[in-house]
Amino acid sequence: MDTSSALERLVRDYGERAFQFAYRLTGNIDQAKEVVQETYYRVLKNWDKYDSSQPLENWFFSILRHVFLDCVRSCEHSRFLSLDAATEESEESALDALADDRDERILDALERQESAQAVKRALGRLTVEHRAVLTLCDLESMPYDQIAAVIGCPIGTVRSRVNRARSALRALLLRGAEVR
Amino acid sequence: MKACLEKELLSAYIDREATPAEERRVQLHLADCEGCRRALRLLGRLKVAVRSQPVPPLPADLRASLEGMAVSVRKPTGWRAFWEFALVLPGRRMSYAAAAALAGALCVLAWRQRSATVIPVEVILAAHNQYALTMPLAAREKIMSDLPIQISYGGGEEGERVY
Repeated sequence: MDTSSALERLVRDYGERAFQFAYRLTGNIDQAKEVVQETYYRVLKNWDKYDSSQPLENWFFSILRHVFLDCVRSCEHSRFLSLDAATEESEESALDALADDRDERILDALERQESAQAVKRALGRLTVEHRAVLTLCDLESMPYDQIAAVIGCPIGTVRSRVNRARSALRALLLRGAEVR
Repeated sequence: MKACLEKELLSAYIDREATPAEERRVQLHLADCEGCRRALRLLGRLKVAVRSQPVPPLPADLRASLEGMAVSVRKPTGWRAFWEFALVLPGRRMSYAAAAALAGALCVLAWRQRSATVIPVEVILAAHNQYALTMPLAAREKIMSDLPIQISYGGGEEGERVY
């Protein structure tokens, strides 16, 4: 397959998904557009490095994720990352101490009409890596082995990271529910 | 009472990523543990909540830009490919070769035209006379052939040539 037809296929098949993924990661339309544009540019530039024995999808999303991480590093979002890292530590240590009845409270909160906004806020406060695995797992419905290929880590790490991401999300939602 | 299952196992179970042995363990445990059933319900609800987050569609300007990028690297086909090859490829060799071939053809054509128009009249007449001398003559023609043939060249001093 030549570069042009592959790129056309990538636009047709993955354009929407790429934008969704980028939007989930950035939480911002303009940044998501930049990330997607840069991703396609890098795909074009590195086309000769693509190993056609591997799924194109994995390679593509892996590039997208790298573009986003580069963007985060270069765009002074490290502030965001460090805040998240602190959040992650505290959420995870607090998480194990959560009583079961709090799960019920979060379930109640998720039932409410305004829960979509609360989930959006909570997702925005997750670390980049947690947002990435949750997006790939829940939105893209990728199996763990495929996520591992995209992220470049072992399946076991994906499994624990997905769990930690959900735990952090749960803790953030609980905090939001308690503030109300 | 048995200890509750690890959250990581429940998370993998909800994603259908637990091993068959783990699945059996979870199912057995869930039958007796209200806390883990609730935790599993919450995980399922969280998964749905993440999935159902609204996402704006791919912006039209971005789509157009990406499609433009794809078109810009498209390889031409058919005649377009030939002309692009001829005009764009290294050194434009093909276009120079075509121009040289065309110029050569014109030169040959011009030379042939020129040689056709300048055959000397002497050569033509000599050929004609040669033809006339070798052909068998009729009686009347024999009489005529005894007469001298004169051809005028426009009245120069020598003005006349006799064949």
